Amino acid sequence: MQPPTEQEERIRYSTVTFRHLLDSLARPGKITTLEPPPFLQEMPVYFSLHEAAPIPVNGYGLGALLTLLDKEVTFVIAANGVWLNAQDALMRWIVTRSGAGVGTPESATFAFFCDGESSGLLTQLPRGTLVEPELSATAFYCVESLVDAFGPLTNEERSDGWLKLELTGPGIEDTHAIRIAGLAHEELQHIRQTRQGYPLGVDVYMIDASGRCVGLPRTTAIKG
Amino acid sequence: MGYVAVKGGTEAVLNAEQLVEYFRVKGESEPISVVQIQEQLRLAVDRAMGEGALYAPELAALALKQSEGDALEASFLLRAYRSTVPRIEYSLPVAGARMRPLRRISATFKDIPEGQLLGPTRDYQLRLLNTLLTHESSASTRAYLAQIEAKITDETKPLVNFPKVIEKMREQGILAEPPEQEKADADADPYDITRKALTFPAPRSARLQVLAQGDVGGMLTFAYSSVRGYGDAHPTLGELRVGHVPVEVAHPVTGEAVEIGEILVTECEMVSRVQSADADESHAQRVARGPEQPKFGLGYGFCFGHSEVKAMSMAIIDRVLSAAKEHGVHGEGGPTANEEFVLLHIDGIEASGFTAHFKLPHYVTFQADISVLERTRAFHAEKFAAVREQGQAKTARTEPEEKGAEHV
Repeated sequence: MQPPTEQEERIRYSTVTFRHLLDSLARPGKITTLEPPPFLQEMPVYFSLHEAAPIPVNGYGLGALLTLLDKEVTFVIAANGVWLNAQDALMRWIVTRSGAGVGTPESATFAFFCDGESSGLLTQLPRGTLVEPELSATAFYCVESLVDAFGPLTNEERSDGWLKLELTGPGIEDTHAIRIAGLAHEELQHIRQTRQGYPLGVDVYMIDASGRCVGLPRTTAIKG
Repeated sequence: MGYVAVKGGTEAVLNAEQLVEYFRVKGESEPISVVQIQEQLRLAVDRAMGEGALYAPELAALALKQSEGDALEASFLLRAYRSTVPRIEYSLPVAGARMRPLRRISATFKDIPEGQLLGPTRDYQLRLLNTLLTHESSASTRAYLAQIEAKITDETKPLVNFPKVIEKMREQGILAEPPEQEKADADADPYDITRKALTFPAPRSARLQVLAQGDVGGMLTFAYSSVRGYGDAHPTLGELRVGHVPVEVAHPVTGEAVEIGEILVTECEMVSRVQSADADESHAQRVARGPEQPKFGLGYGFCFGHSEVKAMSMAIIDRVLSAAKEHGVHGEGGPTANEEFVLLHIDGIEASGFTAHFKLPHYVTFQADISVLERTRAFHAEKFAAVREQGQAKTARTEPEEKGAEHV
């Protein structure tokens, strides 16, 4: 058998990743490991307020986003709590590869936060309407690390910025706990704020630096 | 009881899946290849593409193989696959006049520009079983192909683009212009029924999309009913053409039209007389409207592949619905004139899916039905008993009086 072509490899990657993303929303809190995307060598960068040099975007997160984009949908990206301009290199990188349009925060189908801090931008995203709740946005947070939680956090972990989330809701038997590093504590409040009027709400994915992914659909209640 | 109703049976389900595969191959005949289906069951492939709403002959052939020839199942497989494919670009409007035709006929005029072209058709064959086909072999098909190839000479006239028959009618001024609303709709972006739920009244672009992916059996029924008596359609075939049309997209940088391939399609225009004046219209209204010549109205049909019955049915339904809309008489001219009724029931995949879902366990629903039935019975029994009791008491009271009355 011939080795797969680059095109075939991309199709396979997006099919597998789509399946993982679907599974993550069906089983909130379950940690799924995404595959490294085929374009890891040519990763785009963004600029952070905290670092002098440009930072590569989380490739797993970007791969997941690209899996869901096509000409029918729009996206927005934020870094350091600010929406990126349509002319930003990262935005153009994505538009060229997906054909998706750059949206406004109030109408975008997908939102991508290069870091674990939206500074409240999450609450600007569409939550759908009662007649068409599917017109809501899906948001990706790039965090540092995601693991299953056993027992309470130690003081040391707490000071290192770890958060423990206790999840309940459809798709979770009783409760499920996960630990996240690199997510601002206020984000939990923002996420909760977007899901106060079910069926309206924003579905959220957390993806860490080594490709571990967790889905937090609008039906999941988060304590943490 | 808990969730007994919806759990269990996994092993049986898995076995059933295996068994259906077993039944497909248990005869141990030579496996049929996808190419064979694509080439020799052409029309089944075309139907699956049309109803699956995805132009992909090879995948449609595969779907037919997988579904053992079940047309609805094959189109369902294609429709499901379509929903997973990213949308890269929209094509520019495809013009039927640019078709490279295989077949083109008109029933309105004998002499049409560039003439009638019968092409591949069974229209003139007797419906007799051809038993020779049971002995068909590669050698016999090769010999037949050689015979046909021998007929192709250098003088064979190359095919040209055929002008549309209805354009000629338009020039003569006998074809009615579409109503203003329809013209406005045509200028706007087409409604996308795959992204937006259908609402009524639906724009014509939505109607044509629903019909183009409709189930041919259902469409035939609606169209036939309206021409046979449950409606007032008297259509004539303006033109029916089958052939390849080029598909173009706008170049992402230059914006120029770029041809990306061609697709085999069937296109049909039906014409029928337009009622120029409403029967209920008063004389004053008619005068106010000014002198208007009676004209013909147009119905349009278009579908993937070679499917004449479907394109014709679609054109008839389109005409009936347009006429109903123009005169504001939904459903009064038979069921086909009811837009909502037609468009919501014409999709084979939706209809078969809904019907098939009745095979799923409805144990809990049915338990609820039974308890409602029992309560209703108890209620009726109680009511009946009460009525009977009352009746007996009344009879006991009134009988002597009646007897007494007789004596008066």
